[in-house]
Amino acid sequence: MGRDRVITLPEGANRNPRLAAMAQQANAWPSTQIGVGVVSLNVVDAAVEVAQEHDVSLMLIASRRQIDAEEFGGGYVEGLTPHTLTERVRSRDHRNRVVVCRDHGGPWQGTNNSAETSPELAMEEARMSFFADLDAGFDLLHIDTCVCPSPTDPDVPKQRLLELYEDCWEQAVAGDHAVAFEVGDEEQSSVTEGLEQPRKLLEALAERRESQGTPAPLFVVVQTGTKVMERRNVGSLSAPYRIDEQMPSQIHLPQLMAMINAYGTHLRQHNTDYLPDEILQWHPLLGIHAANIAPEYGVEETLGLLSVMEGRGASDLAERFLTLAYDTRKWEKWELEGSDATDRDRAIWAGHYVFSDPQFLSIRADLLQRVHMTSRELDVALRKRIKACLLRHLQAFRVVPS
Amino acid sequence: MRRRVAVIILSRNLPEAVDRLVRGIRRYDLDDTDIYVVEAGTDRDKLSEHHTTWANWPEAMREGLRPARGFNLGIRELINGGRLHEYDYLFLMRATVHFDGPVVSRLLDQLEEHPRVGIISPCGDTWPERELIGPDSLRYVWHINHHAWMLRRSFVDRIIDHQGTADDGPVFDGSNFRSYGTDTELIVKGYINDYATALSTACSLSEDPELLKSRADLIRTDPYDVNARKVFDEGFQWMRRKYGFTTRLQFQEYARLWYDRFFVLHPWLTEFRLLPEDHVAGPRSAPPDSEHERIMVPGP
Repeated sequence: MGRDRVITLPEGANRNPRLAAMAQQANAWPSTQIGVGVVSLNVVDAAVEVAQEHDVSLMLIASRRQIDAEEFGGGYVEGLTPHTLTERVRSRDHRNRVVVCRDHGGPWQGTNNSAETSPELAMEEARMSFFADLDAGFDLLHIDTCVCPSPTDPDVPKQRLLELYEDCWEQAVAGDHAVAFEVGDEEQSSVTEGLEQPRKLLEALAERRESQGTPAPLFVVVQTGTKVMERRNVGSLSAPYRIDEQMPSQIHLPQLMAMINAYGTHLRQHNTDYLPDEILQWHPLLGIHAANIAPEYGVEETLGLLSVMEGRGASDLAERFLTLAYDTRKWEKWELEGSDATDRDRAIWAGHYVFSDPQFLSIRADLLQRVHMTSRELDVALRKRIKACLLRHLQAFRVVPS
Repeated sequence: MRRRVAVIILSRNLPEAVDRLVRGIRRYDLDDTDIYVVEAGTDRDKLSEHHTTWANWPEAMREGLRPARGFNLGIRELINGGRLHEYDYLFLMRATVHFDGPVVSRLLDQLEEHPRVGIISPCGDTWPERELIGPDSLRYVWHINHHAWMLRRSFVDRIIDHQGTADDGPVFDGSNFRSYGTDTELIVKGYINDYATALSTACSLSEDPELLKSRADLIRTDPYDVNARKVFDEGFQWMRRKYGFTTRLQFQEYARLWYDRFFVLHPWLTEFRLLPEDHVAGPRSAPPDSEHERIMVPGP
C-alpha cells in the first residue's frame, strides 16, 4: 500500500534549497514529512532547534489566524508577520532545513474577515496576504478556499482557488520566488471523503497547467480520516471499527494515493495530532507524504507552563492563566458533543491562544519573579518539552532514526 | 435431496430475530439449506423454536458465547453428529442480520463460479465498497467483518482442528472471547491456504443497530459502549499476544500481504481485486513529465 512515496518537486520549487533538502530527505527512505503548526513562538524556536540538532527538514505551517500580513494586524502568535517570522526562522536555520509554509491561506481565513466581508474584499485580502508571504520568502503556499460564509455554487470555491493559484504563481515568477503550492478545499472531518471533489480540483489544475503554465501543486490536502477533538484524534484512521457509510481507510487510502500520484502531486494529511506512535509509524508505509500537527504542540507548552506553575508553588498563577484561557472560549471548537471534559481541560485546549495576551504576559512576569527563573530559562524548559513531543513525531515518521 | 448448505445462526435471547431469519431463508432457499440455531446463553423462555443447540452451562448463561465460541460450538455439533462432511458450505450468521431477499442461492452461484473463494459475504447495504464492486458482482477483499459469512467446506477442511473445542477451535480462535480480529485471522488463514475472501453485491445485508445499542439488556451484554471497550481491549491484547500487532492497521496490512501474494500466484484472478493492481505497485519509476525534477538519493 502506498509505495509511491517519492516526492518530486514541481517547476519553480526545485530551485528552493529548503524544498530540495526536504525532497531529498523524503526520497532517501520511507518517511513522512512533518508540518509543525505555528501555535507559539516557543514552538517555532523548538522546531528550528530540532531541525538543526538532528539535521532534518521540517515544515513550519502558519495559518492566517496565527501569522498574517502587517496590514491585517499580524496574528495571535506574538503579532508576528510573515516577514518577522521568516527573519526569525532564517536567522536560526543555518542548515536550510526549515520550510516556511502558509497554512490555509485564502478568503475569510484571516481574523479581520467576518461573514459580512464581501467576496471581492475577502479575495483581495487573501491575495494581499499571499503576496506578503511571497515577499517574506515563504517556501510554500497552501491555498484553501473552502470558507464561504454564505451558500454559494459548489463550483465557486474551486474557481476562487484557481484564480488565487494563478495570481500567486504570476507574482512568484515576477519576483523570482522559488515557491511551491498546496491545495485542498475540504474542511476537517472525521471520515474519509469521496474522491470526486479532489479529482475535479486536480483535473482543473492540470488543465490550467496546460493552458497557463502553472505548476502542479506539491501537496494536496485530502481527508484520510483524521480529526482532532479535545486531546484526541477521533478520525476513522485510528478507529478500531468500520464507520457506517464510510469507505474503510485501508481501501480509501490506496485509491487516494493512486489518484494523487496520477496527477503528479503528493498527499498532505492535516489534523494528525494525538495519534499513537503505532499509527504514526505506519504513515510512511501508507505513502502519506506529509502530515501536519499543530494544537498538540500548543497544549504541550500549556501543560509545561502549568507544570512549572503548580510544581513550584504558584498555583494561584496557574488558576489565573487557566481562567484567562477559558474565557477566550477558543476551546469550544475542540469540544466533543456530550463531552465530560472539565473546565480545566477546556482551558488547557485554549491555553496557547493567550500566550501573547498582555494579561498572560503579566502572569508570566509574576511567575518568573516567584520561581526565580529568567525568561530564557522558562522558555528553554518549555521548548525542551515541545522538542521531546516533536522528536517523538519525527521518530514515528521515520525522519529521525529511532 | 442432499442439502449443500448448513446455516448456523448464532443468537442470544432474540427468538423473533431468529424466526425472521429462518422464515426468510426457508422462503427463498429451503431446498438447499439445513438450519441450525445456536442459542448462546439464552434464557429458557427466550429460546427460539428453531434452536438446535442450547449453550446453557453457567458461564455461557452468564457471559454468552460471542461469535468465535458460538460458531465453533455450532461447527463442533456438526462434527459430533457426523454431519459436517454432508455439506459443501457453512453459512455462519449472527441473528441480528437482515437480508434483502434470496441470499443462499445467490452466494452459491458465485461460489460455484469462483472455486478459489473460501469465504464470501454479502455486502452491507451502507458499505461504500458496493459502488466499487458494481451491481451483482463480487471482488476479493481482505478487510471485511464477519456478519454473515459463507465458508466453503474444502477451505474449512484445510484449517479445521477436529479436536478443537468451542473454546479453542475448531475454526475460530475462541481464546479471544469477544472475537475482535478473529474474522481477519480467518481471512488470513484463507489466503495462506490459497483461498480468497469475496464481498458480493449479488445480495445485501443490514444489521439492526437498535438490537445492539438499545437492546443490550435483552442480549444480556454490557451496555453498548462498555461492551465495545471490552471487545477492543481484549482483541488488541489477543493480537499483541498472538502476533505482536499493536494496532488493527498492522493486522490488516498483514492480511493485505497475503492478499497481494494470492494475486501473484493467481494472476488470472487479478480482475477480481477490489483495487486495481497499480494501487500496490512499487515506487513510481519515472516522473510524470520533464517539468519535474526527481530527486533521489540512495537509502541507508
